[in-house]
Amino acid sequence: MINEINQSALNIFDKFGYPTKKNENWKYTNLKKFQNQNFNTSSNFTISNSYGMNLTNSINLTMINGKPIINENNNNLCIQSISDLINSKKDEKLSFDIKKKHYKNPFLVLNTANFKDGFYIRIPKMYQSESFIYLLSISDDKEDLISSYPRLHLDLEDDAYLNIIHHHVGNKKQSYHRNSVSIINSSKGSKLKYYNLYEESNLSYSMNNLIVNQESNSKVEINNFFLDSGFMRSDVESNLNGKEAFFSMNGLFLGKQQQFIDNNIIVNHNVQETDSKVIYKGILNDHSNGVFNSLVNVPQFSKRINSDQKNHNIVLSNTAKINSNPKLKISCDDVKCSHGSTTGNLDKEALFYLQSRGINIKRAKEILLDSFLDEIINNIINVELKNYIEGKISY
Amino acid sequence: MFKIKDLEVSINNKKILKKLSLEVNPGELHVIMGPNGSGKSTLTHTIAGKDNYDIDNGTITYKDKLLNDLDPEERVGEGVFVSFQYPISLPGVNNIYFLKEAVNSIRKYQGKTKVNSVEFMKKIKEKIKDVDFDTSFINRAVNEGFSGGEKKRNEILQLLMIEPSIAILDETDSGLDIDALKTVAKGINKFRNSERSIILITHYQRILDYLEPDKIHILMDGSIVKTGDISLVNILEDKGYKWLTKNKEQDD
Repeated sequence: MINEINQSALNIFDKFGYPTKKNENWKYTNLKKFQNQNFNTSSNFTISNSYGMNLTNSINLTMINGKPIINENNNNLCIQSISDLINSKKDEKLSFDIKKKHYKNPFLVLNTANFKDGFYIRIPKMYQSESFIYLLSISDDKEDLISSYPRLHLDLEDDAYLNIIHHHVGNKKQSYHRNSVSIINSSKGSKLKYYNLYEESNLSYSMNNLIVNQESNSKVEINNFFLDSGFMRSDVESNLNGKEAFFSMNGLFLGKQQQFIDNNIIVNHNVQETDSKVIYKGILNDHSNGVFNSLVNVPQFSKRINSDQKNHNIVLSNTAKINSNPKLKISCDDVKCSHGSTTGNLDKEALFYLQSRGINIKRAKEILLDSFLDEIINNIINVELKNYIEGKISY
Repeated sequence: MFKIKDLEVSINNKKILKKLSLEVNPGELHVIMGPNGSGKSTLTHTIAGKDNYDIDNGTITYKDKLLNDLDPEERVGEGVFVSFQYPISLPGVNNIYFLKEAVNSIRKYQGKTKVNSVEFMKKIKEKIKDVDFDTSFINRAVNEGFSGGEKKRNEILQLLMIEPSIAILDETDSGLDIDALKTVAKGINKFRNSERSIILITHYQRILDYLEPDKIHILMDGSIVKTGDISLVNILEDKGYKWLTKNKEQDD
């Protein structure tokens, strides 16, 4: 039962508590303000505002304050409520999966200690479709200071192909806490393109855990777009558990005002002949603060690994800040790993060149920043999604 | 008329241009030559309005409008185009997009409506022939991976698309092989008419075989020390700039 799962996770959390800055992974994350807030769990699952985007060819799913709205008619996909599934004891594997991940990250534990429901999606063998799954996760309540614990478990069976958009939105006028967990299991030969869009309130605390487990010959591409944030923490863990598995991730984060965007990535090359590629680009303005921590882990005997991690940032104001630390932990030979990080201001010579051709300084900046993000934006295969994101980007 | 009067410019408190004066009438082509370090590039950057090129004294005017305090984009809006010695590349910025953005920005400044897309394409297809580009160039990122000669020809393409009324070309002929040189000269001649004037800054007399300059100026130590016709170039070829220093000393 969910209550039991909640309780055992709570016991674990009580033992370890919130992480402090002494913890290497939380060095740049100041949780004081968050801990001083008194959040209440939401019990409201209807909303009056309208959110999200319209896609012409999509299977639409909605979560309101962590509660999934289940529509019976969802093609041949298995889309269920996690609570229904667990309480009916029909899926032991899922319960096992949830319990297994207990300890990994304090906020992941907190989600497990508090969640009441979520989406379980199973994509059957050989599934292929032009349609995107569009999962809209909304944080909105009549009251301020509400917590929600949305959860998604996505299993791709062998050779299944899927494109999914996970859109995290919230009431821009409210201060809320959203602790979101998504766990993906990608079986042999499966292919997934996963787009995460974050448009949070500036007053929000958004903690996000994404775990990706991949079997042999699977290909997972994650695209993270942090378009609007308050206090944002994103933890991504990739486990490459089968030969020829490939994990790639593109990220774009835009910081404005007092926003804080804290990216933490771990890629575990658990077996030999696995590849990974991570590229994140950040633009930071005003008093915003960004973090890019990434670690590629290559244990002993994981031979013939290809890995690349990059982080490039442009800082637009004297008061914005970025900490970038791409790291490698390699315990064997015969691997090809590269990493790099750059941070700078906009190229003055390039700005002057554009101005000398009649383009005013504001537009010149936009052109240069657009070209900086081009590599990330061009990865979006859905034109409607691409237009939506481009429309939301402003500097 | 384009007019520079008693221009004095310092960079990092060092005086580079000293009471420099120059007047260019519509339709004229003026050539400025001078040894390294004489202030040629400072002059172009000052005319273009680059940061840190502070005008201590003097004026730059075009059609009686003072340019001294205008932003770079306003100067080109007023019809004054500057091509630089080392055009920089803009990775990720498509050439055709860039040109359209430039043309429309200038039109907006001049109170004109946006250019019609079909006409713009028609014009660009015509102009790339003038600089011997094939169509692939206009779809590439601006100057990204271009050879030195290709960059210079791209500058001429911009000149032909923007159609200013005066162009200041800073060593647009340097580093070119003979074919590229002819192409650049052809572009300059295409641009020039009875209304449009050119100031060409160069080290070499080579390109002048293809152009018809009205005046040759010699820039030394921050000011113009001699002005003459094309015959001045031949004397320079013969005797070098030292000849002028000696003359100057004798004058003194």
